[in-house]
Amino acid sequence: MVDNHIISNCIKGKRKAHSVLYSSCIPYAYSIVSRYLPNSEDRKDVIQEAFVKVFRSIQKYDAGKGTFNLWLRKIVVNECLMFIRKNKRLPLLTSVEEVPEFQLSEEVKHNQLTKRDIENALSDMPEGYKIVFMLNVIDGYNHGEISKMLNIKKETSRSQLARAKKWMQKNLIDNRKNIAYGIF
Amino acid sequence: MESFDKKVSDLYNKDGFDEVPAEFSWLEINEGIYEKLDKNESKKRPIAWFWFAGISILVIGMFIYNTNTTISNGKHTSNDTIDKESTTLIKNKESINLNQYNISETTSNSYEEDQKISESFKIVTPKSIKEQPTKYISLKSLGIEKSHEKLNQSNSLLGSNNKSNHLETAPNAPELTIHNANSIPGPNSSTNEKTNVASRLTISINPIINVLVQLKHKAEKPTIICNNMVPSSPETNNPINHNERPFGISAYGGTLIGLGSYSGAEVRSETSQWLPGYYVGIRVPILQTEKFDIYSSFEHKYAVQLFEINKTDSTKVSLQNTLVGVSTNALTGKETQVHEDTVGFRKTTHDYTHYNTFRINTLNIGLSRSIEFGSFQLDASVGAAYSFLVLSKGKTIGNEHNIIDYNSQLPIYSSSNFGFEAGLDIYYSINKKIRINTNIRGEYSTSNWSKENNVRFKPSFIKLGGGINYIF
Repeated sequence: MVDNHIISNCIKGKRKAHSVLYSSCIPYAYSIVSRYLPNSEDRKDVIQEAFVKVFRSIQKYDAGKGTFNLWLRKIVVNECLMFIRKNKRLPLLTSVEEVPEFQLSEEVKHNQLTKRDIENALSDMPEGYKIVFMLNVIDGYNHGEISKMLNIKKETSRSQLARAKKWMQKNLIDNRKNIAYGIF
Repeated sequence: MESFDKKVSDLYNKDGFDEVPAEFSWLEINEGIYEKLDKNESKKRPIAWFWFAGISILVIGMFIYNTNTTISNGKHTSNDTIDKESTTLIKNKESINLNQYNISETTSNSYEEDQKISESFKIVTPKSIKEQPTKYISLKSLGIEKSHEKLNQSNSLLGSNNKSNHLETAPNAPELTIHNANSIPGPNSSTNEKTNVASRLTISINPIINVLVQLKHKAEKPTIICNNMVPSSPETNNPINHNERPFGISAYGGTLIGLGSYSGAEVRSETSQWLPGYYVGIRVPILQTEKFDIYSSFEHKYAVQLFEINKTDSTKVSLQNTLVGVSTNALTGKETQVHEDTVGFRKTTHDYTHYNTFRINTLNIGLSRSIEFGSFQLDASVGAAYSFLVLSKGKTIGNEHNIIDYNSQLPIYSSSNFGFEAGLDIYYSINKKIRINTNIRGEYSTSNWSKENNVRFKPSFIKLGGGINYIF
């Protein structure tokens, strides 16, 4: 939790305040970056860029509009997307035919889900699905926001998410079977 | 379904975060952050200096221009006033209440006498204004109120003494004689050769003295008050305008041809090509020196870049229960299919066309040199260009309709860039006010347009077009 005193000192450009803010925010920022970027060097670049933006525009942060973590998340996610786009890792997402709302099978007992299960599934998920899934399910952006962030239509975002969840279900089931058979 | 989303969200956002590697500690990373912060600050400084220099040149230029115009107008006004006053004096003969000069026939006695007198005074006659600035006048006043003068030409003249810069008269002299130095008779010449003046003039003295006082203070050159002086031509009367080049605003436009590609971005550099765009602008001279003009121009450019993408991507996919072979039982000869879960690659071919469009506003400041030949004028210019990328958009045509606004969403291009411009303009005068021109100009970007790491994009532009020039 970042208090107002640290924020006001950061606005004044005090390095000590920068240090405190960074140390308190880096676990959250790192958890976001590590989801989007597998490479450690890439993560470092993006973390640096993100905090440069944080320190430069911290006076624009409005506590009335949300927590500091939400504001930070937006910056970090944008930096990740920009990095992926720059390095041409973000596939062009195509608008597909209307996909009905996908229902996750009962076979996937999500109460027993662990972070490791999701991470394993995400690691193999196609990049296009993965980004929409992470933006919507993990980072909490709605389809309107995702469509703006990725320059795609809302329908495209919905269909990509449905496909991502379908893929996730199959993968989770398969992984469980694999685990059951002692493959992993 | 919502509970699944919530569960996943909680796993990532509430159940604690992963341990952060040591390389992400503040001590390890702060140097890089401050380096980037300082870099961004230092980028702003050249922009500020460029604007400061530009505005300074503009202000100084306008000041010098205005000063020159005032001086020029001032000189015109002085001479015009003189001409007008002398003309008015003649016209208002009847209303004279002041001192009068009576001009009657007189002759001088000898050449020597004339010459002595003539050395004391200078005069300019209408003819001699064009030929020679200094003539001599000999003037003998009959008194304060009345005087006679003899002229060897039929001009009635009053003049200033150029040596002493004030009016000198000979109050006790009985006669007033004026000679044109060119026609001062030689020692043997007959007095009959001298032209007798028969005209009578009535002139008010005070305005003339005022004018002479003005001349004393304002003009170093011999200045004349002549009642029937032919107004001198602007060329002889206004030395500032004599060598001045036309001062006018140009509006221009034409076709924009882009050059240059991306280095460090293989797909883009291999597939990019420029399509013809356009440019429009206004150019204003802000300072004219003897040989050069300093100009400023504002320009809007529209450039289009085309990418013909044709590439294949591979995506890893897991394949279950895949037939990987057939085994044969050696004893029974029975064949059994062997299935395995395996990993494969899905290949996706991208075959589409993508356009990048740039809208750029450019401010130029430069130096130009003109050569005139007849109705034509060749103008060579070189200058600095500062460009603002006001809009950059990408649009994909084909199966993947995807419009990307790079400016607002993805700042992959710098919002401002620095460069140089050089070009040739040929002007043709249609009339005194309007000229048309054709131009070829080149613009080279010195700063990188790309904000992507390891990608260099420094486009150049060739501009072919024409315009119209309005002369003030």
